[in-house]
Amino acid sequence: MIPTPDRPRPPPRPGVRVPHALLPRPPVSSSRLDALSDLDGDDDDVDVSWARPPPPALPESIKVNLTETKNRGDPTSVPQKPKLSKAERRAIQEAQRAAKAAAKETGVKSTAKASDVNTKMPKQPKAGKASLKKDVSQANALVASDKKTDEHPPDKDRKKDVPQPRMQFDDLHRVVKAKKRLDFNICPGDISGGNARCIAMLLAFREAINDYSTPAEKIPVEILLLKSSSYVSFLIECRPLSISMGNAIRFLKNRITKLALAMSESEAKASLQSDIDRFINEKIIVADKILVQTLRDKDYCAVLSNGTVYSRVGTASVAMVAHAFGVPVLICCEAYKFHERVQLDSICFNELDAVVHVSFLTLLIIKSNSCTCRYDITPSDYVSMLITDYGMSASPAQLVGCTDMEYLNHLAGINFNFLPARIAVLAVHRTGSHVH
Amino acid sequence: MPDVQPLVSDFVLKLKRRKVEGSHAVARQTAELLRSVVSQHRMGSSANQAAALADAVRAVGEQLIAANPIELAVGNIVRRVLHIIKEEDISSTAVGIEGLSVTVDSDDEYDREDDDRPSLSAAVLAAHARNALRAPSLQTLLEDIPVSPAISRTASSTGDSDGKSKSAGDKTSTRKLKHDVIAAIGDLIDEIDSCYEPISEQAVELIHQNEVILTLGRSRTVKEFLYAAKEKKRSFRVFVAEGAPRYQGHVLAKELVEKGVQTTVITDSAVFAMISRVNMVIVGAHAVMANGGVIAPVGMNMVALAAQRHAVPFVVVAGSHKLCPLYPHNPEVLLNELKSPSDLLDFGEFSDCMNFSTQDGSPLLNVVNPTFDYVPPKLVSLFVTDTGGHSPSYMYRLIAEYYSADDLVVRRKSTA
Repeated sequence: MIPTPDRPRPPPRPGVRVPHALLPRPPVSSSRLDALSDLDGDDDDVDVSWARPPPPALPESIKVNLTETKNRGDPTSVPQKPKLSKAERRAIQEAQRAAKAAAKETGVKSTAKASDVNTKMPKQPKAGKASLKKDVSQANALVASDKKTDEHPPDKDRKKDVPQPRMQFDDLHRVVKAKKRLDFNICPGDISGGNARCIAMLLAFREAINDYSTPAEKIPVEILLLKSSSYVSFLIECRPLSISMGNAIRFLKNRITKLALAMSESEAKASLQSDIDRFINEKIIVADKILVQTLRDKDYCAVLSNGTVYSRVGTASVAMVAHAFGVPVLICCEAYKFHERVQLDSICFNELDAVVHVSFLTLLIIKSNSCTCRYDITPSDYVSMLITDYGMSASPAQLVGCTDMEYLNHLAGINFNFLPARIAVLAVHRTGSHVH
Repeated sequence: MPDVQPLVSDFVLKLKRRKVEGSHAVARQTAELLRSVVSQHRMGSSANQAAALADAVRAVGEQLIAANPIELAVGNIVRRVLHIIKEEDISSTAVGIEGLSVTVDSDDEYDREDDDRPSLSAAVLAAHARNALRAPSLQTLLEDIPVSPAISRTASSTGDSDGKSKSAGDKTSTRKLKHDVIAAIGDLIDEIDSCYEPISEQAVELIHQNEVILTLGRSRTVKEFLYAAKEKKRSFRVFVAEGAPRYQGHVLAKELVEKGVQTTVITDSAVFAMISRVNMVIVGAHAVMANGGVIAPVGMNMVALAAQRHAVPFVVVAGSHKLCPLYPHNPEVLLNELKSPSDLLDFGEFSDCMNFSTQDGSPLLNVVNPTFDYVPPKLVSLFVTDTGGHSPSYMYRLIAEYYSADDLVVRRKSTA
């Protein structure tokens, strides 16, 4: 790995926890997130949550307990603020984070182990930061910190201040990074792979919902929508959303709007969290199991409306040469990665990647003039067959067009167990006939 | 030829051990070696001198080709020299039968010129040679009736027909033949050395303003081509695909930047993504086959396919020493060579994978590292050679000019 000046520290490997004291202190002001919060330690608002003494049953606490604690704790937390000095707050913060990280790592497994994720997700412990905010901005700050699921952005083309706020709240996202599959040396993102990113993001949202608590006078739905929009814009600033993440966010917003007004806050939260769990389970994990024919690395693969496949760079070249030699190309893609966008070439919408294999001296001499895309477009005529969890089709464009996009967004009232029925209905596809 | 044998063995060893690589260097050294062979050859009796000389060259050439079969430039130069010998022989024979052509009633310009001058110009010689080698056609029959039958006869019989000057002419014709052949091989060496200039002169015709050019790997011909365009103040930028696993593209990028060309290095896998923004693909070749197909560094077929898909012109620049008279389906032609897998995998990491084997003892992990790629002629838009720009379907004409048909298989004919 070529050390670059943008990264103040080397990334931690999965499962390895760097003691918080060794991490460099972030600078005082961070202009980027000022809109969201005050991240310098001077503002008491941020540290309120961390100032709370941890509940005794912290590592094994389950959701219900914490929810109750949160609901109760709002009015009483405020008077404690002025008493703790900054150093003490930091100490408590570190202790809580360490404990939380320990608990998280046991609780969260990689995406490959579907059953583990399913069973252990409900047991996410809450660190003592289940404190409550007085206003939305504080909630934003805290959960924005929780939500640092995003991988470190590619070195070359991110502003310098984006990694820095991340340093402050790295415990949680390091925990979430326990899901990452690839070593940092291979890809610039700490969490790589569309599925992993999507799952990480959804889990972070889930936590945000958990930690969130409505002030009495506001409506949960509005607040949640507002917050989710701000989270999403923050995420986009770190790194452009993948297509799977975009779909997941749309699904989540839909669920939020569908929440009945009469629901109590805890019911709403529970419902949303179970929705997220189900989404992850059915869309991603079970879909992976259904796709038994995996001929290519499913690191990242989305299918656009005109049947074009949007995947890692090099896929198009391989598909083209295979087509030229008459070798069939099968694309395996979960249906939730379908997108109604169309794209004609790879340049309009892409990300930059780090250049590898260039000696440092050569890099200096050619003045860092290298351009490596991360993704590229495979035209649909190179694809012999598209295989999804809903069926197979020799015509990717038609399959994408006919897949009910509405289904992906509006899940209100639809039983999640319809999946087997869907597969039966689309068994027609497997005979190779087109859907009209 | 005992004097020249150590030289030959030396060169054979260098070729076998790949100490000399690259078509240009190989072609030049082969030509120089064959020049030494010719100059050291002792001409025997006047009968079939050319054939004996050609046989000597064939013997050496067979060894050289066998030393490095994938380096087609060796065979190209050997066949060129054989063709030179044949041509020079024909021209000296044509001098000898000058008298014959007078009696023939012909409107052909060339024959009249022959009457005027005893020493023939090079163009006339070439024309004679071409006429002689042309397949029988109506034109051939009308023009060259006296010449073609004369060629099949040996020099002695033509000398007999002339009579008076023959006995004196034998010695001079022997020396003349050798001298001419050596001079012609010298011309060939100069042609190899200076192949870059005529090619680079065509750069201004192809590169206009604000062009975006894509290339893969590193070719010296392409480098000179782009330098020439830059000299003439054409504005263009270059995408250089790095050309794994040797990454010679990095070296080319450095060289272009030193000349002030706006360069961008991309990976091979990004070629398809970037080619939609490219105006022209300019690449070099290892060899050009008789059907217009190209043997090029690995990855070129993919670039050619991508260029075809996006309707981007695919231009191959190659010196004439790379032009091979063989077809790709010819069993003598090795289209590829597999190099060491250490370029791809680090042995330290994968040494344990190499141990496992299936029931029949073959390893589970195979690493394939081919050196070359074959690009079919339908993907090539233009060949830029030192004789000008040609389409792939024209290459057979160039081959007819430079090579003779019976030299395709370089094998020593049995000595009489």
